[in-house]
Amino acid sequence: MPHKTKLIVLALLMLLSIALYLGWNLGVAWQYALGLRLKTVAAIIVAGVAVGVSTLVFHTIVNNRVVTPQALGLDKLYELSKTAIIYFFGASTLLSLNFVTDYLISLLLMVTFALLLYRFIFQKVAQQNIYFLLLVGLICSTLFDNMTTFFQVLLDPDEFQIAAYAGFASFNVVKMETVGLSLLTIVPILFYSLKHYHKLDVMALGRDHALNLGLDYDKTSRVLLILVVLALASATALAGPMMFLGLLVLNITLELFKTHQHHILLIGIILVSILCLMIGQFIVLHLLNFKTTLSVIINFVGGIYFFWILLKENKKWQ
Amino acid sequence: MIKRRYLILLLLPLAMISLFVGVGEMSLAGLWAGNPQDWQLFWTSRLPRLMAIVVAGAGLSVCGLIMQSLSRNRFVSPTTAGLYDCARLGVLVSIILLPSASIFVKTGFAIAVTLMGAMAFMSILATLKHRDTVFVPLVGMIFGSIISAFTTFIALQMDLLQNLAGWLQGDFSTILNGQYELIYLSVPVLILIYIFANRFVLAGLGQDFATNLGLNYKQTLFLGLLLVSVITGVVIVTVGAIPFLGLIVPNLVSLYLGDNIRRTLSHTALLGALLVLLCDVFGRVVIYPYEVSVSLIMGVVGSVIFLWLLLRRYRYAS
Repeated sequence: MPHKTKLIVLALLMLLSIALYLGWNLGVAWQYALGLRLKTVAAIIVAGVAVGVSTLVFHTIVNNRVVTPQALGLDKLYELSKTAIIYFFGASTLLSLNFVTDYLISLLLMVTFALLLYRFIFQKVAQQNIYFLLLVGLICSTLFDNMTTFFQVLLDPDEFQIAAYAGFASFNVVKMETVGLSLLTIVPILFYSLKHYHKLDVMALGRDHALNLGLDYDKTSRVLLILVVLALASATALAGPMMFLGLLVLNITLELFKTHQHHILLIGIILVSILCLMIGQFIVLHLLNFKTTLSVIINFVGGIYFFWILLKENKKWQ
Repeated sequence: MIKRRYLILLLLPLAMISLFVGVGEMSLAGLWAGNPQDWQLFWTSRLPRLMAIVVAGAGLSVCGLIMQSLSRNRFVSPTTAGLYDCARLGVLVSIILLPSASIFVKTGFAIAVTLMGAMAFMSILATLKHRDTVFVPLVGMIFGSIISAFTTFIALQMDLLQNLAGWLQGDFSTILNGQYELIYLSVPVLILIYIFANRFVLAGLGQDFATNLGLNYKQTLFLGLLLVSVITGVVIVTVGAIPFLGLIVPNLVSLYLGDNIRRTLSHTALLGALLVLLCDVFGRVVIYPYEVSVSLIMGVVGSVIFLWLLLRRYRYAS
C-alpha cells in the first residue's frame, strides 16, 4: 500500500473514532454532553499533535526507537510541580491559580530541567550508550515520583484527590484556555518541523553523514531539542504524564510506514497519536465509566510493549 | 579500608543521638533519675524506632548484596528489580481479599508476591543474551513500573490509592511499641544469609560453574530469593519502602573491600544501618518539630549516589 493511501486510511479511522466518541450514547441532554465531548476532542487533537511531533523529532535526534522524551522523566516533573503547588499553597490555589501562570510555571520547570539534563549527561553519553541515558531518565523519574509521594502523604484526603487528578492524564475536565495556550506553542513548532522536514531527513542519517552533507548538526539538534521539550511540556500540561505514550505511537508509526521520510512520518505519527488517545479516552469514558484514568491504561499497555521491545531487541544482538 | 570498628564507633553515638531527638521531653538525667514518663517514652517510641532503623537498614542492604551476587550484576537491588512494587501489590491483594486481615496475613501476601516477582525477574534475566550492566536494572525498573501501573489501576477502581501510598513511603515516625515487632523476623533471616553466604558466592559464578562445584544451583537461587523476599516484605509492611538503599550500600562497600560476600556482609549491614540512621536523624532535625520521611531523603541521596556510581562506571568503560 503506498504511503498516501495509508495516511488517508489513518485519517478516516481518526475521524471515525472522533465521530464514535461524540455520538456514543448521547442521551437526553445531548447538547450539554456534546459540548463537553467536543472540548475533550479538541484537547486530544492538540495533545496528539504535541506528543507526535515531540516524539518523532526526538527519535530523529537520538536515533533510537526505545528512547522517548517521556522516558527522561519530564512528565513526572509536572506531577511533582503540581503536587508541590498544592502542598505549599493549598488546593484552592491550584484551582484558582491563573491558568496562564500555571502553564508558564510548568513550562519553565520542564525546559530548565531538560536543558540541564542535556547539558550535563545527555551530550556526553547519548551517542555511545542509549541504555545509560534511559536509566538516568528512569532514576530521575523515580526521584520525582518519590518527592510527589512524599507531598501526597502529607496532604489531607480532599487535597490529595485534587493532586492525584491533577497528576493523572485527564481529558475529562478540559480547560479551553490551556488548549489555546498549547495551540499557541504547538502550531509554530509543527510549522517549523514540516517546513524543515528535509533537515530532519538528513539528521536521521547520523552526525557524521549530516555534517558531510553540510548540515550544522550540533546547532540544529539543540534547536530541535528545545522544540521537543516545549511541545512535550504543553502536551503534559494538557494531558498529564504518560510515560509510555511516545514509545507506543512512535513504534506503531515506524512499523506502519517503514520509511525515513519525515514529511510522511510526521503526519503519520500525529494521526496515530490522536487515534491512540481517542481510543483510550473512549475506553475510559464509555466502557469503564471513568473508573480509571487514561494514563493508567497507557502505562500498562505501553509498559508491556516496551518490555517486549527491550527483550526482542536484546535477542537480536547475540 | 574502613575497619569495622570505626563503623561501630560511628554507629553508637548516632544511635544515642537518635534516641534523644524528638518532640517529647526526654533526657538522660530524667532516665537516670528513673522518671517514669521518660522511661515510658523510651520504651514505647524511641527504642523501637532505633531498632527498626537498624534492622531495616541492615536487612535491605544485605538484600541488595545477595541479589547482586545472584544476578551477577552490580546494579540490581530491590528498587531496581521492582520488588517494592511487587510487595505493594501483595499488600493491595490482601486488603482487597481480606479487608480485616491482621498484619501477619498482609506480610504473608507481600512476601509471596515479592517472591513471585523476584523469580519472574530472574527468569527474564536468564533469557537475556546481551547482559549489558546498565540494561539489567533498566529491565527491572520497567518491570516494576508495569506492576505499579497494574496496582494503581486496581487501587483506583477500589478507592484505595491513598491507603496504598502510605505503604510505599518509608517512614519510621509511626513505629511504636507493639506495632513493629514483626521486623525482628528479619534478624534470623539475616543470620541464615550469613550462614549460606558462601553458597551465594558460588551461585554468583553462574549455573554451569556452580553445578560443577557441587552446588544445587536452582535450590540455592530459590533460597536466596526467598530470604530476600522475606526481608523486603517485612520491611515494606512495618516501615515502608526505602529506595536505593540495597543498591548503593553494597556498591560503596565493594569499592573498598572487593566482592567476597563473607567479608563484606557485616560491613554492608553496618553501613546500611548507619546510612538509614543518618538519614532519619537528619529528617527529624531539618524541619523540627515536623519530620521529613526517611524514604524521601534516601530517594534524593540514593539517586544522586546511584548517578555518581553510574557515571563513574561509564567513565571507566570508555
